[in-house]
Amino acid sequence: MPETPDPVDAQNRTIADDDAGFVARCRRGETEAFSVLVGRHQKKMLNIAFRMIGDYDEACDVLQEAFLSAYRAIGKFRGDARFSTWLCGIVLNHSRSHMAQKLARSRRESGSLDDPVKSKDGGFLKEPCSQEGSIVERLEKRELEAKVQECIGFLDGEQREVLVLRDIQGFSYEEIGDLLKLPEGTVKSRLFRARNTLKDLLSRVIGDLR
Amino acid sequence: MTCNEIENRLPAFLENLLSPEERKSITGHLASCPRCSRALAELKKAEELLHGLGEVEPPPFFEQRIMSRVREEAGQKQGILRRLFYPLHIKVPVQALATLVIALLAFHVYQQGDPEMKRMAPLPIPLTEQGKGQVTAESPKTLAAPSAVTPVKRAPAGDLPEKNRQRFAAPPFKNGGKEERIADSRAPIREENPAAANHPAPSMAVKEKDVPPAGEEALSRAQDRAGKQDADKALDTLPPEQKRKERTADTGAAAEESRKTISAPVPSRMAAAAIRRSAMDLTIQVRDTDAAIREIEARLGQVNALISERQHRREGEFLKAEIAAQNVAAFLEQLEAIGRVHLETSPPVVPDGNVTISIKIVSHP
Repeated sequence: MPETPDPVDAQNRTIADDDAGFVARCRRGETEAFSVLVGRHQKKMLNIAFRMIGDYDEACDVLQEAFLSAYRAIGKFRGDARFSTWLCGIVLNHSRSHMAQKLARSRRESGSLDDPVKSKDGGFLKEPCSQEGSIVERLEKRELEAKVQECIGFLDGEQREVLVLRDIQGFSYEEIGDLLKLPEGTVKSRLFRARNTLKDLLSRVIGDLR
Repeated sequence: MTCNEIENRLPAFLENLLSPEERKSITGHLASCPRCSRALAELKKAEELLHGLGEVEPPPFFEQRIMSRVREEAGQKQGILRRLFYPLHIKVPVQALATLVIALLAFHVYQQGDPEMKRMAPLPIPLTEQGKGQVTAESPKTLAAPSAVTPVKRAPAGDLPEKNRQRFAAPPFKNGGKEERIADSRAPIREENPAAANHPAPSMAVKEKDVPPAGEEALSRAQDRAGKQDADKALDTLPPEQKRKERTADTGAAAEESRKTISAPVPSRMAAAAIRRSAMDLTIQVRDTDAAIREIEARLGQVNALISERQHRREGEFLKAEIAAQNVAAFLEQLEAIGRVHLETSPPVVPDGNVTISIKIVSHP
């Protein structure tokens, strides 16, 4: 089996990929080399999955399946991109599938996603949080993050992807374009729409953002 | 530009991706529009919130969980491959050894098979002829060495000695095979050593010792062949054209003879061969057919033959008689005294039993 060549970017410049050696070993059938790749990328991939799905446990399950898929398909990895980018694509695909299944399930079971955001006890999640000490602050922060995550979850899949990749994971427009097979302009316009939508959602959920 | 249009461009405005004109226009609008200014502030805050989102940590032993699944997957994949292509462990040496043995055996059979088949195919099959004696036939090899011709042998049923088995192998039954045998039989007859013809071959003597009951018959056969040799010599004095005809007839007769002397592995063929052998046709040319018939009948009576049929045909008189096999030779000698005898078929080779002789008596002034 040939060694995985160093990936090249859009300008045909060779991109150094620290994972190339381990990928090559995996392609030769060395299962243990894959554990290095899992160790290196599990956190980032879990965060992507979590921000896409919005549920930690589900994200873990999805990521596990994504890593398995990556292991099965590592022979097909052509090395024309970084392994992390290729892996991220797999995680996004699995996340999309999971979300589609979840959406279909929720549509069968309950009402529309256009319904106003409600808490579990039925009240609207608009009331401000109390601020009492550091624990309260941490709780507030966690609550705020949960709300932000909830708002991210209300974005449509395409907008969510670019928002998560750019604003949370810090991918470059070029990387996102490679990953989603989109022109950079499309990525930007999609991202700007996502930001405006999220701002509106957050202002509805949290209140005055200023 | 309306507020909605400006609001849609605010993210690009924040990233400095707009043209200077657009940027200047928006900046001017923001200064005078509280709604758009608020939208810009909210957008900045939203980005801050996004950037401030903490990272989640993988659960404990998450990597191990993934790797256990991966190893399981790898084991299954390897297991399938192993089952299909790499049956390792203890099986490999056993299978490899078995394969090697089979390969060597196949090679050996291939190497040895051809001559073995040649030798084995015409294995003598004991032929019971009219309930007496084991009749086997000459193999093509035997025909190629006429000095060793001993077509009739009596031996313990199904238990021939190896040398006899090789000599008296059943011939092939295909036409091609017969032609080949005819071709084979020609040359030796012509090239036969006169000395060997005058004196039965030494191997014959050995055979007589080996198989005493067939000794007499073998001797008579050898003499018969010697007679043929003489005929061959006589042919040398004939013109080439006539000689060829004679030779053809002779060798044809020889081929016919050899065909008759063979035993067939198939019972029906064996029976047919037996029937052929127990009959002989001959033509006798005489000056006076009526006198000859009387003479022949008298001679038949002397050898205790039973005349079964007598016919008068256009071409001559026809007589059919049953005669004891051992008396055939004596009878033929007596016939020679009556007229010129021409054997349509050679004398039967059965040592015992009766032979049906068909005699055609033709007038020859």
